[in-house]
This record gives sequence, C-alpha cells and structure tokens, in this order.
Amino acid sequence: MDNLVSPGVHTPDDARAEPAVRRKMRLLFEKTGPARLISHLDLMRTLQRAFARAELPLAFSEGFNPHPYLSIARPLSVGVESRYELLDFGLADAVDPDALPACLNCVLPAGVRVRRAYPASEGRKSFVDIAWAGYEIRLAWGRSAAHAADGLRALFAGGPLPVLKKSKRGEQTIDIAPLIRLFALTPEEEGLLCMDAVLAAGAASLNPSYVLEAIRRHAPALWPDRQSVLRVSLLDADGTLFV
Amino acid sequence: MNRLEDLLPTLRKPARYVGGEYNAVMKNKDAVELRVAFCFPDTYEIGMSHLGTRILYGLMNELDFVWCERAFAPWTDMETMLRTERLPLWALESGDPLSAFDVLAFTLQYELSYTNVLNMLDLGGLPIRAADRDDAAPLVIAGGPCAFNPEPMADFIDLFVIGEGEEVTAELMDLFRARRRHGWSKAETLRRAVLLEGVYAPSLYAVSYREDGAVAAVAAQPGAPARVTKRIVRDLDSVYFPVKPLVPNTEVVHDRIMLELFRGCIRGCRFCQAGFTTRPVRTRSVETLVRQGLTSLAATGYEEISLTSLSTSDYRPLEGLCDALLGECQKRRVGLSLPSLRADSFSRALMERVQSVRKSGLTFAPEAGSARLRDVINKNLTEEDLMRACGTAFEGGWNHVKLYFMCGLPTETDEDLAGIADLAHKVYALGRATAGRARGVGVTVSTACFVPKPHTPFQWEAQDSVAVFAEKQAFLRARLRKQITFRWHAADTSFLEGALARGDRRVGAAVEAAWRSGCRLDGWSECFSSEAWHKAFASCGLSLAFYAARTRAEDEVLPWAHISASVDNAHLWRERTRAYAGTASPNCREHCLGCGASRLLAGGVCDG
Ligand code: SF4
Repeated sequence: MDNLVSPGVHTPDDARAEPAVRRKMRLLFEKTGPARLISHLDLMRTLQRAFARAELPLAFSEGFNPHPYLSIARPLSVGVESRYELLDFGLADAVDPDALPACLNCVLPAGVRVRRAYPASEGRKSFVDIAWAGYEIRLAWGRSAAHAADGLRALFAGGPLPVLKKSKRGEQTIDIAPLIRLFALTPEEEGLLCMDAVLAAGAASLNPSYVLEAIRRHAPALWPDRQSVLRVSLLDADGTLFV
Repeated sequence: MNRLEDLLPTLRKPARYVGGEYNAVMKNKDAVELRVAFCFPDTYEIGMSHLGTRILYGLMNELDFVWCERAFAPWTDMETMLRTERLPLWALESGDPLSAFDVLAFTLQYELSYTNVLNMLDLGGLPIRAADRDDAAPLVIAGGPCAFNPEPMADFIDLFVIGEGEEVTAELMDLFRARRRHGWSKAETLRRAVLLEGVYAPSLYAVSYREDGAVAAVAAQPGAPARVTKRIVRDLDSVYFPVKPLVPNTEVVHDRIMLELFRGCIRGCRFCQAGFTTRPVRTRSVETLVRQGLTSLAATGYEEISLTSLSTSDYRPLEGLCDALLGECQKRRVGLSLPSLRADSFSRALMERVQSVRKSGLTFAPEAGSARLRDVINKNLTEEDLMRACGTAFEGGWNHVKLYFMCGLPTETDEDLAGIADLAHKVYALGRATAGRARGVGVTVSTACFVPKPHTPFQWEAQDSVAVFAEKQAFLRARLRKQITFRWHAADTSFLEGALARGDRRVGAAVEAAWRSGCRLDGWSECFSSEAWHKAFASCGLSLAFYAARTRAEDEVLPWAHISASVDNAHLWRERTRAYAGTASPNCREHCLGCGASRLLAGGVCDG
C-alpha cells in the first residue's frame, strides 16, 4: 500500500489562506470491529499518527509544550461501536475537505473509517450543543425473543427506572427514565431484538450500559445471552442530527 | 468468536488481543505454504516494543510463501477467560489458534519469561515438551539473547537459533517449506536443520553430569556439530530492516521508530553479556540510516525516532547522523532520542541536537561507585567524565539526571557502595550550583542486582545471595540523603534470573514445575513468587543457589560449553584475571585483545 497522499489533496495556499488556528475542520467517522476496543486516549494518538502518515499537518498550539488541536465529541466506552463519531481538528494547511476521507482512509487501522469531512468554522455548532445520542442496542438470546419484547416495552414505557449509577463520588441511585428520549423495539431475526434508544448526551448524560443495567435490575428474567451497542447518531437539543 | 466479543471489553487493555493495527500484514492463508506465529513470551506492550520482533515479522512476511503472525503472553485476566471458556490462544492476524501453525517462533529476551513460553504452548493447545509433540504439531523454534544458554529451555524447544536471526531465519523458512513439500518427519527436519550454521537442536545432544552436580560432558549425535557457533550479519547496509513497522492502537513501552546504528560494542564491560555475544562491531552507514528513518516516518506517523545501539555515542558519525535527520524531524515535529549515551562522550554539541525538539530525562550509567570497581568491571569511566556530562546537562536546561548502578559486582566492598552515595551527592550539589534555586534539581539512583551471565568474564562467579543484596540495599539507603530518589531492583527476581541464566538442562524440569504450580509473568512483581520457585527447584532435587551462588572452577564444563559466541573462553578467563587484578582493558578501537570474534568477519579484522 502506498502510504503517501496524492499531491492533489492540497489546495494552493493563495489569497484564501488564513492563520493556522482558523482552519478548523470536522470529521465524521466510524469506529467498528477491532477499533471498538481502542480507548479514547489511544484513539486520539491513532488519529494523530494517521494525519502524519497522510502528510496532513495538524495545527499545533503555541507555547512551551505545543500539542495538536484534536477533540472527539462524547467519547465512548471501550467496546462500544460507532457509526457516528465526530472529530474537530485544526490543519496548518488549506485542504480540500472532499479529498480528506479518501486520503485518510488509506492510512487508518482496521475498523476506523472516515465518512465525511467539512470545514467546522462556517456557523457550525460546537460540541457543547450536543444533547442526545442515538444507539442501536442489540440483545440476543439462544432461543426465541418473543417473550422478551413485550416485557422490555413495558419496562421502558416511561415509568420511573431507578438504577445504581457509579461516579467518582461513589454510588447513587438515579431515575434514568427522563434521560431516555426515545425507545423502540424491532425484532430483527429469531432470537435477536434491536432497541433503538436516544439517550441524553448533554450536561446530563446516560451511558448505554445503564439501559442494560436497568434490564438486569428490573427484569432479570429478560436478561439476554449477548448484547452489543452501536452509536448511530449525535443530536442537538431539538433532536435534529448534529453535523 | 461471538461470546468472545462480549467478553473482550471486560478485560484490561483489550485492544492488545485483536490486532488490526496499521501495517499489520494480512495474507490469504490458503495461498501461503508456511504459517508462522512469532511468539513473544511477555505482554503485547513489551513485545511490540522490541526491535527484533519488528525485524523478523517484517522479514518473514517479505517471503511470499510465508505468512508470519503474532502472539503474545496473555495477561492473567485473559488467561482465566481462555481457560474458563475453553478457548485456545490465538494469533492476532488471523485469529487462528497456535496449533494451526507450521512453526511457532519464540524470542527469549530474558530468563523470567520462560514460564510464559510454556503457558503459551499450553494455551495454544500444544504439549509443552518437545518430545511429546508429534510430526503433525507445529515446530517450536526459539532465538534471542537467552539462546546463548539454551539448556534450561532445551526440553521444550525443538530448535534454537544462536545469534542474529536475519539470514538463518530465511534459510530455515526454505528448509521448512521443503519439509512440507516432502513430508519430512520432525526428526528428519532437525537433522537437516543443524547442518545450517547457528542452528542447535537439543534433542541431538546428550548431557552427562558429574557426581557433584556439574556437567561432565555434552555429546553430539553423529551429524550434529560438536559446537554451534552463533550467526552474525556481516553487512548491515544490505540486510533487511523494517521500514513499515506496525503502529499499535494502544500505547506500548517503546512506541517509536527505532534505528539501529550498529551491532556489537567496542567496550568490553566485563559484566555485559550483550557486549560479548554481539561482537564484533558492525556499523550501518549514515546514508542507510537516514533513508530508513525517513521512510519509517512516512509509513508510521510516529513522533519520535530513537537511535539505538549498545553504546550509541560510539557511533563515529553520530553528530552528522543527527544533523541529517533533524531537518525532517523539525518539519514533522518529530523528536530524536539517544537512549544509551556514555557520559564521557556527552557533549554540548550532541545535547543541542537531542533537545532541539523535545527534552527527555537523561540517564548515565557509571555502573559502580568507585574508580577501583569501575576498573574491575572495565567500565572505563572517570568521575570527572561523569561530572562534566552532568554539568553540561544541567547547564543545558536538564533538571533531572538518573544514575544507574549495579550492586553485588565481584570484589565489591562497603567503600564501593558508599561511593554510589558520594557520586549521587556530588551530582546533586553540582545540579544545585548550576541550576540555581529557581529550578528544582532531581537525581535518581537506580540500582540493579548483578547477575553473572554466560559468555562473559564473570560467567564463573558466584552471585550474591538475596540476604546479602538486602544488606547492601539497606547500607546504601542509609547513606543516601533524602533529596536523592532511590530505586532498587528486587533481589529475589535477580537471584532467579541468575539461576536460570546459568542453568543446565535439568533446570527445565524446575521451570515446568514452577509453571505447573502457577508461576507465569515472573518479570511482573505482582505475579512473581520467590517461594513457588524455590519449591519448584526443590521438587526436582535442585537448588537455585547451586546455579546462582556457586563459583565455578576454570576447568568446569559449563552447561553452554557447546554454544559458541565466537569469543574464546581463554579470552574471557584472561579478562577475569585482569578484573581481579583491578586492571582495565583497552577498548577494541584502542587495541584489539584478540578475543576471537574477528573470525566471523570476511577479512578477519574488526573495524572497531
Ligand atoms: S577481535 Fe579484537 S577488535 Fe574484534 S571484537 Fe575481539 S577484541 Fe574487539
């Protein structure tokens, strides 16, 4: 594989040139398969090295210990896959955003794939405006899942759902029901249910593992043999896709 | 793999078990003739930091008929999961169990990884003893520094490679391919393999013992060489070097590009095994190194290049090399690090080159606290050298200096130990005087326990007992002022290392007994049990002290007598005599002492 980027990617540094720090870009990428096991900090380093391999110079902060500006929206727990990851970063050179996905994808490790790139400066909202995140939580049983569907619908019908939440300050029981905006259940195949859940991801936020914890606590009979979590979207306060 | 997918995220650092790194080599397993699993018997973070692993992985995968994958020792939580779920240890690229491979190639970097070899074989679904693995099982081969005394692992490994692996590995791959094509038995394959220089098959050698427990003789079967001489690569400019190394997705210990300036060492420090087993010195050209450095940068995106060798500052064109790399490094914000500088060559010019991008801590290794003891071990470093180097560092803006010493060296007295403290205090005072009160100055004293190693002038010496090490540690600690940070290597692990390093073939049974009693990851203090090891040795009628703490006579047959590092025993004994006389020896550049290693070179003359 040729690791070098085709020279066509860089647009000429002409009159549009702006100071390094202002070439802010946003990347929409996926993190699936083996990459779901890459931790947040490791992912930052992995991306930084991919930029270097692609010869896309990142903008560095000034000062004694310069570091590149890289920021991932709402980092996920290790083990959670995502089709909707956002990265904000600054480039030191002007680059055609449409050429970015192709040139990064040939230097990224297995499971990390860039879907889109766009300038982040033109009136785009910043990550603080993210309020919700959409997930597909798949539950699987070795046998038919028919028995579980009704029970799960009842459990997530909107009534209070107290769950023990661990934080740095210790354990605390909270009601997660207000942190769930949408809950829908779709049978996918024999023994497999998909829960579409939109969970709080703003100032108050809900890790999808607590949805599973609620099942374990309140409906242990419905506990699946296997489960997997995929993030599919980030949304702003009114529920529109955050891009 | 379904259940596995659920369980992996619950493990510590799960990314180390799934592969998928950039530059990992994927091939079609049905399209290759030979499948090799390169097995590093320690964790992923350690194994992925090892240059030799990068070299052999890349080299084997350059051969189109071979697919070389990787396997590492699992951490304890992973091992528990594998055993409870009855899953075999797999190789990272294909996910196939170790039993599916034609060849398992282990690297033995340090003695404390031996139980991990057994554990990986067992987790891979294979009998741990070579004799119990039939013709259909993978052939288990091993190399690395510990192969210079292969005997403690002789019962488990089918075939050892002695010395540098590049050329002989390629020859072995051809042989193993021929084995597959012709359906040779394991015995037939081993008989053919030992015809290659540098290959040792322990099953073709019989060891007898004297009544006092020492080795009486090692007898080779007809057709096997009486002595196996190590392999070296003569021309480092033309040999394969990995310029597209794997880039781990999770942080490893040495997460950077490593350039190897030269092999061997001109110094001849008498305690240093590598200094003897890697002789003679062979050098890479600046041109080759710059090319390899720049290609590796482009292929990895790493932010640091480390210039490695046993004694980096003995590379004649070092400043020129740094200058040639610095331009590109600065452009890419890549740091240059020189991990093994000798204090007597640490100059302002060099310092400015290393610090121009990034500043890391500085380590100097006086090894011993007094001039007398430094002469005994042939360190050839004066206190003035050290003070000048530390002064340069403090003036250049470094605040922290680490001093590395060894404890328990032959002829060591309290005065030598007190000398360690004196040196540390002098360096600290110098730092305070140079840096002024505005900057905090730190001096760390790091002390290792001396382990006598095969193929060195100290191979006949007795190692200090754990109790003596403890006394010496207490003595030194009491003398060090509290401003000095003191780090001390555990004596009981060093003592085990000493027993394994100079063990004979019977020690294999003790390694097996230790593993069966639960020993693994012995290099990790949270896993190490000294008691379990003593029990294991005792259960085999052996003792650690017999191997670690016994002085050998000059004429004793050493367990590794049939393995030659191409340095004559007579030379080693002469060096030992000079050590006891307190006489230093000149280095290879000043004056050749005729150690024997030059025989390995075409012209018979070392460059030095
Ligand atoms: S033969 Fe001489 S120069 Fe060569 S390694 Fe031995 S002592 Fe050094």
